[in-house]
Amino acid sequence: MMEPRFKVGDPVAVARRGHDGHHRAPFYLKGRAGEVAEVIGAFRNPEQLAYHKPGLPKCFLYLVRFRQSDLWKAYDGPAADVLTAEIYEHWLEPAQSRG
Amino acid sequence: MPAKHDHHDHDHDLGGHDDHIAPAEAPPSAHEILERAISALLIEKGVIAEADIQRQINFMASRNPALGAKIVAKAWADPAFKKALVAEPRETLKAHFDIDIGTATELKVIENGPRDHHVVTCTLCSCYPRLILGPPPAWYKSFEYRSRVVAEPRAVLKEFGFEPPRSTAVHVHDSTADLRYLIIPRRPKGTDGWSEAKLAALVTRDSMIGTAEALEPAAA
Amino acid sequence: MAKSKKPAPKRTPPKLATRRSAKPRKPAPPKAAARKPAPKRGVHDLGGLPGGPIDRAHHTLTPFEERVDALMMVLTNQHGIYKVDSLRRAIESLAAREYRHLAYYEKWIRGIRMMLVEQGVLTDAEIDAKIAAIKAARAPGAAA
Repeated sequence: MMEPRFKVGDPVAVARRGHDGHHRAPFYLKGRAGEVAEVIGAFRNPEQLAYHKPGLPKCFLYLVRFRQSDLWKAYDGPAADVLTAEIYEHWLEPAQSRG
Repeated sequence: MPAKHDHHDHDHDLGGHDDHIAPAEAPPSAHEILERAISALLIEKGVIAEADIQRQINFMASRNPALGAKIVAKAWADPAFKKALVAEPRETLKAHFDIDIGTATELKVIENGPRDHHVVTCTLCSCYPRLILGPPPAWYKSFEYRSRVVAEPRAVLKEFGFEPPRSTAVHVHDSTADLRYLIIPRRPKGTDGWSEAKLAALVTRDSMIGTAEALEPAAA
Repeated sequence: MAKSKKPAPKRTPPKLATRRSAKPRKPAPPKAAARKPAPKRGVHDLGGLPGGPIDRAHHTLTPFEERVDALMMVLTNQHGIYKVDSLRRAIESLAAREYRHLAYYEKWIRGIRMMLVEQGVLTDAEIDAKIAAIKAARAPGAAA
């Protein structure tokens, strides 16, 4: 099996692209940058499972953490407020480190 | 007691029941009839058995917030259990509670604390740790919760009656894929030495989702 | 109130069709060429949309809801006829108006119907016939 492309701490962005059909990258996160909080593991691809296909080979799933102030222009909570979501590897791209 | 020969304006249903005692059953909706049709066909064709459905209903009845509360109470009372639960939830729940969470999803157990408060949602549908807590509450599945909690979690928490201070970071977890979350709420003060049963009574379903804290001893 | 992203162009997704053909149509995952360049928000993809107060009223599952929930688990976990991902896809394919107005388990039973027909377990014709038979048996004056 292939190795995960990203590791904990890597700055990543969710791909800003459309996808006709079932997928689990939410609209509000597309194009948004965060960092890998966890390499969760490898799972069958739900985009294939949703059409009765086996969903193999398994793909890596990452827990990605975003700053709320990066996601929402009008966010008025403290800077430490964050959001996490599980994003599949083929929806992630390397991003510039924010430092 | 109303007599059966009492001729009032209200209808009696075909069964002859007086509706002072029991209201007439509402006619089934189109979707209820659809379910009956599908179930009947599947059973006739031997695809499933009625017993399969009943067994599943019974099984889900055993998964409910009271079960989650027992798990949380044990985590509060037993630090070694809590450590194992966070590190290896599947194995720990199997060993201590004989709960099999299946292999379709992974469970993530997160502790709320004074500096970090975690709250869970599934914006895309209604993913929820059903195999521990049972079916999710209606509000968890609502458009309003799913839309708003990711964008304005503090306003949503305030609606639920809970306002973490700005010194507490709020973490929203959107269950977008194969993780399911169980939150261990903060153990309330004034509960030292309490039995697990007494602790469990403080643990509400909402506190295991993160939209509330556990009950205070005086309030339980 | 958080700003939502620029609204996607309005699209009319295909309605949940009741297909009359005997052969179930096997759906295919979208090919790469079909992917549009810009992201669009599916009917189910709600994160960040504006919303009103949350109704926190307690709701116990009705017998119908319990049965649909159980049926779903039996068909997926026990019998492997389709995966839960397929049910999600079915529900996401509902028209926006249907998605908004159908109750949670009404969406499920509609999706379950679609999956059973897709997988060739049942046909729309026999489901419709059974529905008609159930209604006829319930009609006033029908034999007990």
